[in-house]
Amino acid sequence: MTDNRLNIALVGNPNVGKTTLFNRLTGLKQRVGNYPGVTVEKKTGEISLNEKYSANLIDLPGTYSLAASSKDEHVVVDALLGNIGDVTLPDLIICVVDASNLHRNLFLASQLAELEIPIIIALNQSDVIEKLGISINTKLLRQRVGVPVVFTTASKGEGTEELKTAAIESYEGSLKMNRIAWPKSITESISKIQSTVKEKFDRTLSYIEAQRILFDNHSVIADSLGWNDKDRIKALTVHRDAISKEGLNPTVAESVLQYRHLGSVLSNVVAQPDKQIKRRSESIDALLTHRVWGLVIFAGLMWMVFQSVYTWAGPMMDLIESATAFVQDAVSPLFDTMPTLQSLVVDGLIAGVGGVLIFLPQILVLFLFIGILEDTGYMARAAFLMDRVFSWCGLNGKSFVPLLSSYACAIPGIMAARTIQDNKARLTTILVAPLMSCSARLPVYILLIGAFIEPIYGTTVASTVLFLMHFLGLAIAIPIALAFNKFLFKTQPQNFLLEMPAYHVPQVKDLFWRMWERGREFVTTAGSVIVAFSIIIWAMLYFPHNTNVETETTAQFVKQKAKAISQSPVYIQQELENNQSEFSIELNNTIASAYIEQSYMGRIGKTIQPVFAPAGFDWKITVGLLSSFPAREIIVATLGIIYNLGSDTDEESEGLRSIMKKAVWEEGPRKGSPIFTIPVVASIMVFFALCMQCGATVSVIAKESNWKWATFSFVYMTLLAWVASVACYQVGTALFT
Amino acid sequence: MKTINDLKQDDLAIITEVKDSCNIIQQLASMGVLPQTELRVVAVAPMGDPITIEALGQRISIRRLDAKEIYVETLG
Repeated sequence: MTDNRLNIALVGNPNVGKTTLFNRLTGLKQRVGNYPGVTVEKKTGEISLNEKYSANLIDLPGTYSLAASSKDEHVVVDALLGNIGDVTLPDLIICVVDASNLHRNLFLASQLAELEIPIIIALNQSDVIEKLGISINTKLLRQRVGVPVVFTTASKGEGTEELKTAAIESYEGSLKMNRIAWPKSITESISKIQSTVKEKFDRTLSYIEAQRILFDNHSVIADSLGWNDKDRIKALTVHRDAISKEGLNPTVAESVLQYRHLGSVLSNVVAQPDKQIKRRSESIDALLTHRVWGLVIFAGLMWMVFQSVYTWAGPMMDLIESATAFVQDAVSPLFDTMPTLQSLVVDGLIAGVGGVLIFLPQILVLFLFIGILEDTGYMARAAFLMDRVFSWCGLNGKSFVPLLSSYACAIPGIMAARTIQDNKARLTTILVAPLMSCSARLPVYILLIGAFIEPIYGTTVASTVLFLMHFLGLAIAIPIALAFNKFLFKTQPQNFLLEMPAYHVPQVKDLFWRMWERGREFVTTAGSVIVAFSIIIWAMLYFPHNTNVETETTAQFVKQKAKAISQSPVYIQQELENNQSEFSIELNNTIASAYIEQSYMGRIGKTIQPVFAPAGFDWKITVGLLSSFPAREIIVATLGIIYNLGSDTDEESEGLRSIMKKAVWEEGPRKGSPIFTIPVVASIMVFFALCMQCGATVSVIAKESNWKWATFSFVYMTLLAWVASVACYQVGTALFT
Repeated sequence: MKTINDLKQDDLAIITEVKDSCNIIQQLASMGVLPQTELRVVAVAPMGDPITIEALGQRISIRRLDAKEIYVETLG
């Protein structure tokens, strides 16, 4: 790294257009990742300042204060103090402030001044203050703060060149922001804290680190020292008393003094118009947060979002599905001489990649809407309206969108949980989201309801059952969320404080940028795991693939067929020469079924069938169930193969329905009686409703939290599904027989 | 002594004291919501909680639980 490459940190309050400014400054030259150990998004990008200087720009999460209370805010403090692994200390800070609310926004700047790093102030949303008739005397402000002050309108890309010039000026002149003069009680306390820490922990704290320990109720820096709250509070008592003696409440002394200081910094700087123009936001808010109309509009908007995710994504998903099939058909002949490799590539690899891409349409559509909801400022209103409904069971007003979209698919739903800042509520949302009945469960419900319930009980009962199946996950999610909250997470929930930002028109560029980012992230990180899962399951269904199975099955088939239709085996064999004949299709399906029975998966299914016997499952259902762990909709095709119908079977297939109706127990105490009784059908549906049969969801949970939680969600849902389906079968059998 | 919870929608008031027991005292302070700050209740959520207050040109949602720790005097 040369001396002419600066590290610049972009810092500011939430909702000031900081990320938009970042996007305008870096354009496409940005990288998105995570900070080590935390799931806080890290955005960095390259910019060229002039011929001499370039910069590595880092977009830190929005924060109101250095007194960090959330994970996002911890990252800001850690990054600015150089306490995060791969983030170098910034050479310069660009503090982005909302020009229409200078007083509050400059509070963070005044805290940053204590870092004594060169700084510049970007007065963003300058178009808004023009409309409001507010004028700001930047010359006077610059004089008072001692660092460059630049107007920007990030949404229009205005002011970025001026910002770059100011950055160089500030860096070369090492311009630091004028600091407040602290009273003696505070400066003395800070140096005493420095010496206490030196003694206690043998670490030399910088001035600002000691200051944060003094001021913050929950100090990140004390945490990193391993200084526990009880000890720290005890050690700070003497300093707090000293501050109290000067007539200040030590808990808010910093804010009181800084705001007073800013009051004088800003006097005569901001000129409000004589008659204040009422912000449009205020009248919109009166409607959108109204007790009745607010809810009506909320319900309408959410219905629209759900419908769009559900229906817009449909055609794109069909397209991906047929494209996958097309590629499979096109690639398959290339490997005709190598059947194992052929199956690996076609049924394992290509099917796996198709299985990743299939989620993209829903992710893209959902994040388009989330982008609109967030960038307009509506998301905060939705959280406000829904907070009470969700907070009592440990969720959050912002859990609504993730849970609703999980009804289409849990993948985008879990990714959407990022909008929840409270870590505990976010994790709870992620853990219960897969219980919502996603669209992949629908084929299973349709197959079973269509085959066993509709013919006996009629359409009304059938549709009621379908509705109940969709409701089941939600009904179970509530007590589960409550239980997790009570027993699993020991930490206190984060405090609730939510700013209702002014409404904005979202920038199309930023919306698309976010869609692209989410899609790319999913494909690159979760995608590889999903492909790996599907290859493992493919291998378990394919191997050992002993070719004896084929010869034996053929011989048996010829014998049985000959007997069945009173023809000579030679006639059957002749018929089989013709690849298109009815017999050879039947034979191929029988062979496929025999291979599955002989595969590792088939053997495992037969071995562990007793585990599922209390739920009423035979080995065929068990194999279908095991093979659908990577993706639950696979069950239909697997059942198709097991029941000798080939893999092209779908949930509407009459063949599969009738063969399932005829299926009887081959051995054991219930030999000869039908397998699919009503309690068994109900038990299978309950199992599918509650079980984590989705490799993609597991890997997305791992990505959004960690593998520990991903494993946990898998285990708890599988156990839950087992318990519920056993209960369903046992109770059902007792009632029905 | 009145707290924010005693205010009706659109009531104007001035903060007299924020108790140290208020969970969000430092967060509010860093947004400039301190004693002597004027505020107005601008919205109440459908189930009566949370509420949105307007202070220093910004709108902030807080829960009743925290609002009961913020003492106010009504104005006009």
